[in-house]
Amino acid sequence: MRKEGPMIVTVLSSLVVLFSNYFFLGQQWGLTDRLDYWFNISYGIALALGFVNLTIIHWKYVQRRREGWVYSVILLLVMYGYLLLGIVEQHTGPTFSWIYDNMMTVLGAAVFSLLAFLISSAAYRAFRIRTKEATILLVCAIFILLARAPIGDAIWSRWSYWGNEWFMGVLNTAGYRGILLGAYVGAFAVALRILLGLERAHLGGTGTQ
Amino acid sequence: MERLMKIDRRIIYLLGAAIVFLTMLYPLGLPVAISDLARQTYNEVENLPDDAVVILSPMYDSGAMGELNPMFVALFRHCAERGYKIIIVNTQWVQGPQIVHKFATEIAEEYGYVYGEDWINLGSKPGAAIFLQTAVKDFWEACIEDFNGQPVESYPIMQLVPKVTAEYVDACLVLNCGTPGAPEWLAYVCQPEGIKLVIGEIQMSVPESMPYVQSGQYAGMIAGSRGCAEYEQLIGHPGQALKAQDTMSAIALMVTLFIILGNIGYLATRKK
Amino acid sequence: MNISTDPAIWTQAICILAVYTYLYKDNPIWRLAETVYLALATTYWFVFYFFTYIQPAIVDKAIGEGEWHYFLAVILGLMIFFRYIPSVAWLARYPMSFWVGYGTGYILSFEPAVWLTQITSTFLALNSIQNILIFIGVLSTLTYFFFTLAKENPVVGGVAEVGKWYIMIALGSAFGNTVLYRWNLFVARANTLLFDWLGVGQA
Repeated sequence: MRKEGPMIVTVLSSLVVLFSNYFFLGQQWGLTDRLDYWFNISYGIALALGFVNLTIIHWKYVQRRREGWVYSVILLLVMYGYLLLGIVEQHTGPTFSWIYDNMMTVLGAAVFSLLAFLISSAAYRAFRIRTKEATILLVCAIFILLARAPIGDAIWSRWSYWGNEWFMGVLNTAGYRGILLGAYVGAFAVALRILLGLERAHLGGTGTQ
Repeated sequence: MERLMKIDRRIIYLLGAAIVFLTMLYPLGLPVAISDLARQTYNEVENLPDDAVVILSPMYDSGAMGELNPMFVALFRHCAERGYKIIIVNTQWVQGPQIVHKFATEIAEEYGYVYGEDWINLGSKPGAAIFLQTAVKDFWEACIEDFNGQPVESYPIMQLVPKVTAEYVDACLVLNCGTPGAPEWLAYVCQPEGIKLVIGEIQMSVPESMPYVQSGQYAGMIAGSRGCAEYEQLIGHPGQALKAQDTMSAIALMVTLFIILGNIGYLATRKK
Repeated sequence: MNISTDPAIWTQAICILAVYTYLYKDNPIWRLAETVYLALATTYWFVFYFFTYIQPAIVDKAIGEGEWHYFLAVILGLMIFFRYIPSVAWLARYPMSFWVGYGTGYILSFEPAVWLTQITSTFLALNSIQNILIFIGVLSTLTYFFFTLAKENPVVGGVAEVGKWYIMIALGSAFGNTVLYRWNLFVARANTLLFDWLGVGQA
């Protein structure tokens, strides 16, 4: 029951959803109605896994005095301090929200904006017209860069028209659709493998047959 | 020539930051042309029935709020001006509803919108695609409580929407920055139920979303900051996105210049 | 210039500057900011979903309305934590199997409609240059991705080559947009520093 049981659960739950959506009788029975809630609630509970995992990992770092363990102590203190505050005040409480508004969202936004600097420096360093393909990529990148900012139109009044309507709307659309369709076929193939019990990565181990 | 390839990264950083600060202090005032796509998007929202109910889904977190907050403000304002009922809800992007709550509250007050009657913030729900499908079958049961911890069915606005189907919802306006996002709303709600889907997309993912616009699966798209600047002009409320466009112009020039410099250096040294 | 006296704005400014110290080099201030962010973000998830979804499901639905089946969902969710007990760690596979299987069922049920529409939108009437370019672009890009096709064949190879150009155009376009997107995020932070914190341009 250690491998087979979960495998049966995987296949059965897939089949239930398929039956409910593809067959009239399945729709009438509403088999998934209750299971949907089970999914949402059980999944919501499992999101606490990240919290528990982080605690375990950093607690081990502290115990072993690993390099940078002081940050692990800070992490645990902040995590549990904020949790305590959350339990006392709930998520709409004034202090909990204050920390959220003035620290958490700001830190997150600042971290993600760091990439502005890194991507510009990387573009300068790595964007070289070494091959024909790299040249096409570079020319398009510059064309779109200027088309998506008003400066393009200031240089040539039709820049954003050609950039948005033709490059983005036609050539890019065709290229991306090809990429998306490839990805869809891949996702569909993996889904079929799971349904047929061939894909077992979610059960641990190497996972495929 | 080799020097052209070896400019210290910190000089690029400093120059970038200086350009941003300077253009914010001394805007160039370049005009922002309005694209057909922005007009199409505006018309899709503008032409909904007067008593329309829309779902406005902020599917993002703090990482994308720099670009999507102005879109949320523009869309919420546009809907409030038209008098639509607005339901804010998302799935998985737990920060989204809290980030937008203060903007929504401010604009709602401006337009005399009453919480629970004209608009509501249902918060974030776990489950991604499955949550969306649950909402199609039973919206109240799927959401359980709103952002303030009250049962959703206790609000008058929610009496209008027992299910997320075309019968009760006129459009879904999804602000997208990753997975789950607009493609999930499309696959699990809008396409099967025949609900109009208009999205606000971060500039980075605009190319990826263009095929859906061309196919008509997205009825409209606010395409990144530039698209938002165009939309702000269309609704007559210039905001943060429009202000940022001069900076974007200067940055586009700077990055282009550095790429060209690097390549001049590369070509010159390669010939040697 | 009118520097803010609001502690909230000062906190925001300090957080932003702490993160940007990384641009000089990795340093303790950056690591502290990174650690605090990670801790707050992880806890926020937990608290938010607990109070807005899990607790109401248990208290209001299962206990209050007597819908006991909600307890089964709770037990299923809790089973994932068996992974921390080696002797019964295999029990954690059950909820995982349910989620994977259930999600798979939904993908197979709903996703095909989306991409079939993408396919039908490719086969347009070839009466305009745009439509012709889209048609050629999608087919050639897909040809490039068919790794089982013999690319030595001049026709297949030629079509795949065109596909490669289309992919490069798409990626170039993605790059151009990404640069602007990232700088836009910085503009939002610069707004806080310049106008909210330093009060530049304010009386």
